[in-house]
This record gives sequence, structure tokens and C-alpha cells, in this order.
Amino acid sequence: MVDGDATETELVVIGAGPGGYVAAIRAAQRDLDVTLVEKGDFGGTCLNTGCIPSKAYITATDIAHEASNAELMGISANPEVDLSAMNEWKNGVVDQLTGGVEKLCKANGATLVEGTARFVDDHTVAVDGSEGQDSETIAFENAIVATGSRPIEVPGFAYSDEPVWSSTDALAATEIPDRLVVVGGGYIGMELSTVFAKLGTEVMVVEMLDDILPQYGSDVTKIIRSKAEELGIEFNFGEGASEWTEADEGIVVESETEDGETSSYEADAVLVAVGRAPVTDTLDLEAAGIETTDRGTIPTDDRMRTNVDHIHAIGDVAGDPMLAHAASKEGIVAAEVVAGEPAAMDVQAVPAAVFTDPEIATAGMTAAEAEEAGFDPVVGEMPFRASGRALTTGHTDGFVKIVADAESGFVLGGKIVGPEASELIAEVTLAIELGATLEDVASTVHTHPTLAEAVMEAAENAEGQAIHTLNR
Amino acid sequence: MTDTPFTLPDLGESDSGELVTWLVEAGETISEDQPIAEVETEKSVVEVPAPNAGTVTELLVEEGSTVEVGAEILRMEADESADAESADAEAEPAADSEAEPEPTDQPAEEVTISDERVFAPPRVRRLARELGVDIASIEGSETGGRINEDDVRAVAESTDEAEDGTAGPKPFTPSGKSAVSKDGEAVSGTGITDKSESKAESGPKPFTPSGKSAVSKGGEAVSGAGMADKEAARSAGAVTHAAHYDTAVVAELTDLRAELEPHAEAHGVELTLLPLLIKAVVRALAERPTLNATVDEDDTVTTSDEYHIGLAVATDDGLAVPVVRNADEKTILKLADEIGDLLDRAEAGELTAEETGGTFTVTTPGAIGDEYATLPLDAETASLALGAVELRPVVADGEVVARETLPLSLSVDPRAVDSTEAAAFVEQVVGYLESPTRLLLTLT
Repeated sequence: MVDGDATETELVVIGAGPGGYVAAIRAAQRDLDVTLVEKGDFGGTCLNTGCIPSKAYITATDIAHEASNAELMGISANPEVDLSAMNEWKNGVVDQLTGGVEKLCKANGATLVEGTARFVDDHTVAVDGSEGQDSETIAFENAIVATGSRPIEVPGFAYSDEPVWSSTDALAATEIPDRLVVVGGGYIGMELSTVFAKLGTEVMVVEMLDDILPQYGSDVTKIIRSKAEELGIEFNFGEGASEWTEADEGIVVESETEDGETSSYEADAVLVAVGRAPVTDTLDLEAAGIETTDRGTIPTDDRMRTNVDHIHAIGDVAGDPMLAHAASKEGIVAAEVVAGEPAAMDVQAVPAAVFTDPEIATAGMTAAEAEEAGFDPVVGEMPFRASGRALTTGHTDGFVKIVADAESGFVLGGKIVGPEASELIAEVTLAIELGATLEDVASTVHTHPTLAEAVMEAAENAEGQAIHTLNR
Repeated sequence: MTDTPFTLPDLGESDSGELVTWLVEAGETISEDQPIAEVETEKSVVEVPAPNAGTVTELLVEEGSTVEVGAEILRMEADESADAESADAEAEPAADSEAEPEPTDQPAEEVTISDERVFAPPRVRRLARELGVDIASIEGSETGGRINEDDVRAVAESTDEAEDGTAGPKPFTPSGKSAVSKDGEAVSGTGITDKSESKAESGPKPFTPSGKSAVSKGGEAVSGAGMADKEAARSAGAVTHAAHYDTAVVAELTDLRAELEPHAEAHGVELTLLPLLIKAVVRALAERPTLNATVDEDDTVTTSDEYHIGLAVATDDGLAVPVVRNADEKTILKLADEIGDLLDRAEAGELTAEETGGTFTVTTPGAIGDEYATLPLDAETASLALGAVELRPVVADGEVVARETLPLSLSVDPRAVDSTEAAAFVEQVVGYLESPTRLLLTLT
């Protein structure tokens, strides 16, 4: 460590992703003296190489795909896609957001420090700047670790090799590959498979399990799978990717089943999306006495405290759910706890969304989970094919399902597959947080004609009195 | 020793109040929970307790000014030895909550978040943490057991000193069963869970619908399980003593007394207003049993089905409280006779021990002198101070007119009686005093 003058701060936040920057702003709002350390770009994975760029691509490729598939509506078009231009536009969006976040942090009074932070002891971090610059020592009273996660590498597939893509590489591609193997049928793999399939790429998914997105249940996955197959995505379940080799034209990806059966896929690139691992290797957590789990995540209590009381951990580095909005909420809790407020991570539901085609969104409990928790669940459903608005969008696949307790009517969970599911889940989440009942949701006037009416209809259906579906 | 600000704690029903009187001054050494100021809100006067022991360094607010909840009202140096002592007494299992003596004014004990589904909006859940209440142990008063702000405050105020607050029955259990017995006898819960139970609300309620303390009927004691730690609630600034006041227009009552007076005289009894007032009070008590009750150190509330009304009177030797026993069973004539005798002997200092020990106390009209007065509660859950009947300005049909009015103020122990209940009781007494013929309906 560097001797001499350590900067002093009440709170140091390590990492300026959606967990860290939110924590820094909230802490600054509470008049804490905050220092925010970031080694790269503000906004973390989410803004730079995750949520935002992927959604930009999803929207853009949807436009191209829709335009070329709207003959029924009387539209014929053959749009030309310039991936390089699309990439530039996406980068503009990202720059605007990350620049905005940096300004917000400054305007709220957080001190920004560039570099990689490591613990020296439980009240000191050293921040190593780039290229041999002297490291800066910061003495802190409290710390929030928000270093996030990075894509997991599969043995035999090094991201440093050109044809092996991480999700970050996929979102930076400037040419559309003709053939793409996607290793992993989770949400990242499925979102990007959809993007490239809509750009005309021949996509082959290799998944070790026997379904995509298994946590969402077969009622969801069969809809997603069937739409994906329509788009030309080929699924190969029960296989693990074992290696890749250069070929005359492109590469060959080898896979193997549990029984040792092998298959090979010719492609131009292979996207590996098998999950994300917490970033702790740069932190020297031991120096501060911070414990980690076997998975490398930092366990926390409901105040987001690590085993070292005055050091908090939030977001991906603190483990599941690895979702940006969960990180932000945890950041707010941690900042308020540091400020001495009675905050705690007591949310009743963290919604999740997958931006496949159609979208998936869930919040709260499934019927099975509700039953396990001792409730007597009742499920109401509204298929989008019965929604006027869904018909006018040309997208009628999917449904809204709402789970409630039969006796009290309390809304316990929701599952939505269909257009704008990611937006629609917000209402269900609010109902869960507030302790609203089916009647509350069903009695709320919903704008017509909107997709949101389907949430109301599902609640009415659970009560046995939906108007636009038969109540059985 | 650090000089820390103390902010006006939550008053329960208002966001602000007028700081009427300072009960301490700068430089004064105070003990934990000692009343430091009287704050008046729209309908009540509350005493604000000291958050901990220490020395007052500065009063930041002048008497008579309006203060918002959360505003700093005084600065004090906390007594560190007292701090350490109370921290020890609380026997924190983990030392993690006392990270640093931060200058926060909400040092409520930290509540661990349950994994179980809780039916309460986020702001209510946060309030529970602020008051040191485990929300998972609260039975909400709303349909299905949903918990609202009042439920949390009620539990915070009636928290149990002796019990740890972790043993309470779960609130809305999915199976819908919790500790409620049939006719409200022995109950170790904090409220009504079973839907069938809430139907039987015609009789005197064994417990308040807001899920207050556990209360039993017929003198059977029930422990207030499910309450969080009382110290936590106190240190969080819960108000420990509250008053509600109102004024009754008593023209009909004084007319009635005047009409009955010659008949009473024929029996050799002097009829004052007091027997009529007591009848009204007893009638209202019968409908609100938690006010005719005692509460012990464990916050156990024991209601009484007998109505022994203490009459606080000023005598030359100080305050005396003769008791009219079984006031509900006696005629107005009999009450008048007895009261006359009791007051005479109280004045003469000739009361016997058997003639004290009431279930509810009334101060006789004007006895304390002020229009409004609050009494120390002792073990009783409530007492009522009656002011003097005088002509006072009243608005009737849009005009200010002089009417005979009687000011009354009710003082309650919030561990046993919540503000809604107290207000309802006062309203009921006022109703009887303004239309005394209603008392005929329940004449026995």
C-alpha cells in the first residue's frame, strides 16, 4: 500500500453498475460523504454490455423482422440490415446513458475515483489506477461492494479466441454471422439467439438440460420454443459443448451427451452463455476479513451486510437473483442502512423478465410455490388471443396467469408470456407488494384497448367472473 | 458524551402538534422515559418521553409553537453509563446492531426480516422496523389479516416488557387458524384471525379490532404474547400516555337534574349531577371493556365485569379517591345518597381501605380546578376528568350562543387502549350526557 495521506470517506462504493451508482446517489442524498470507485465505464454490465445494448438490438431486429413479416397487414418489405450502423446507434444509446449516470453521481455530490479497488484492511482500500499510476489509499467508515459479475467461460472455449463470443462480444459484432452456435439455453442465450435468428443467422442452440429456461415451466417454454423454431432456431438438448476447431470455412463445435454420443456443428462463431460468475478476484476480500460462498459470491444479511458489519455487498457479487433491478434495490437498502435508516431487503417479489419473442415476465410465487408455502392457491388466466389489443398487434401467443390465495384473495404471483410482458408484470408486482387482492386488481379500471386489460381479466377469471373468457 | 438532538416522535394520529409545556429545562438531568414535554394535537394531549437518560443541553422550541413530527425539539447529552446498562439489559444475541453509537434518533432494536409472505404495504413494513416491531408477528386488522399502519403502532405501543416478542402467534397463516377461542375467553393472540370470529361482534368485544393487546373477559388474565419488545418501542419514541378530550353540551342533563331534584329531596337525598354522570360513564364502560381494566407490568390487560368507580376529590389532606362499588347495579337515588356520604367522609379523612380500589376513576367536576385535567393512571387503563359545568360559547345553527357545557378529558394507557377506542369512548359519554334520556334504555 501507499504510505502517506489516505483520503477519508464515510462510504466507499466499489463498482458503478446499477447497484453501485444507485447506492452512491442514495447515500449522497442522505448527506453521506461518498466515494464511488469504478475501473471502467459507469453503468456496469447492465448499461454497457448487458440489458441496454441487448434491448437495443432486440428492438432493432424486431423492426426488421416485423417489416418483412407483415404481408397479412398488407405490408411487403425486404429491409436491409447494416449491423455496423446498428451497432453505432446502440453505442450512442449506451454513451448517453452512461454519461448521464456519471453526471448524476457527480451532481449528487459523490466523489468519483477511477481505478480498481482492493481491500488493504477492513477500513482501507487501495485504488490502482491504469498503467502504473500510483495507487490511491482511501480510508472508509463503511463500504459497499458492488463489483458485479462476468460471463463464465466453458473449458475449451476461451473468450480470447476470435470465434468464441461472450455475450459482450455478440453485442459488439459488426457483421452478421451466417451460422451461430449458442451454448446455453438460458435467458441470455435465448435473447441473443432470437436477435441473430431475426437477422437471418442460422442459430443452433446446444443446451445441457432438456429444455430452455426450465425455471419458467413448460407452459411458458413450449410457447417460446415453438416461436423460436418458427424463426429457424434449432435446439439440441442434453448436450454439452466440449470443444471447437477451425474448419475450412468457419469453425466446428463439438458436443457430447451424457452417454458419450458426440455431435458436431459447423458455424462461423460460437456464443457461450452459460451463466455469470461474481467478480471478487480483484478485491482481496481476505484483507478485510470478508467471507465468500463456494460459488464465490459474498453472503449478506437482510441489511445487505457482509460478515463484516460495516461492509455491505449488493448486486451480482452478492449472489442471486443476478438482476439489475435487484442490485439497485439492494443498493438503496445498503445506502439507507449506512445512513442509519430502518431499511431492509424485505421485498415480497423481485420481478424477472426475459426479452425473448414473445417476452416472459414473472413475479412472486407460482401456484406450486404458493401451495408449498401453505396457501390454497387459485389461478386465473387470460390468453392473449382473447385480447383485442393483442390481436391488433399481430401477436397473440401467450397469456397472463395470476396466482392468489383462495381464502383471502391476496395476489401471490403472476406469470406473463406475450407482447410487452416485461411491462405488464409491474402491475402484478405492485399488487404483491401492497398486499392487494384479486378484487382490488379486478375492480381497477384498465384502459381499453390495452394489453394491461389482460391482467384485470386474469384476476376476474380467478374470481370466476371474467368477461372475455369462459370461467372454468 | 455526545450532544445529540432529539426529534419529536410519532404522535400516532397527527403529523404535528403544539408544544404546550416543557416539563424539563436546560441543564436538567433526566431519566429514560421521563415526560419531557406536553404536545397537543387536534384531539389529544400527549406526554413525550425522554429517549434515554442524560442531561438536557438546550431546548430548541418555544412553548406554544407548532412542531412537526421529526423536527428537533431539544438537544441532550446521553448518559453513557445508562446507555451501556440498557444495552446490556437487552441482551443482544449478536453484537452487530450496535456497530457505532451513531447520532440517529431511531435506535429501535433491529428486526430480522422473515422469509414468509407478509401482507402489508412497503411503508408499513418499514414503519414496523422503525418501531422495532417484527411485522411477521402482527395480526392485521384488515380483511384477510392485511396489516396497516395503525396495527403496527398499536403493537409497538403495547409491547411486552417481560416477553421477548418472538413467541407470538403468526399473523395470517395460510391455513387461516390462529389462537382465538370461541367466546373470546382465553386468548393469546393479538387480534381476530378467523372470519367466523368477526361475525360475533355484537357483544362486548374481548379485544379491539385493531389487534391490540390480548384481553380476556371476566377477569381472566391473558398474556399479551406476540408483542415486540417494549423497550424497543419506547426507545423508538412511542408515546406512553395519551389524553383525549371533548366537550358535552349538557343543557338537557341539567334540566333533568332540576326536574328530579324535588323528587330526590322527598327521599331526603340531595341530587347533584354526579350520579347522572357516573351512570353515563358506567354505561359507556360496559361497551368498551378495555377502559374498565387494569394493566400490569407484563402488559397483561385484565378487564373487570364489575364497575367500581373511584371519585378523585381534592381534600385538605390532598387527593382522595373514595370508590362507589358496583355503580352499575345502583339506582341514581342510591348513588346520590352514597356519593354524598363518601364525599363527606373523604373530606373528613374518614375513608376506610375498603372504600378505595376502583376499576375506573372519575375526577369530580372542577375538583382539580382546571377545565381539563389528566390523572396519573396507576394500574388502571383509563380515567376521566370532568370539568365544571359553566356557560360557554357554543356554535349552534351557525351562531355563537352560550350553553351550559361540561369539558371532559380521558387519560388512557396506550398499552391497553388505542386512540380510536379512547375517542369512541369519549364520544359515547358525550352522547349520553347530551341526551341523558338514552340512559333509560339500559335501566336495570
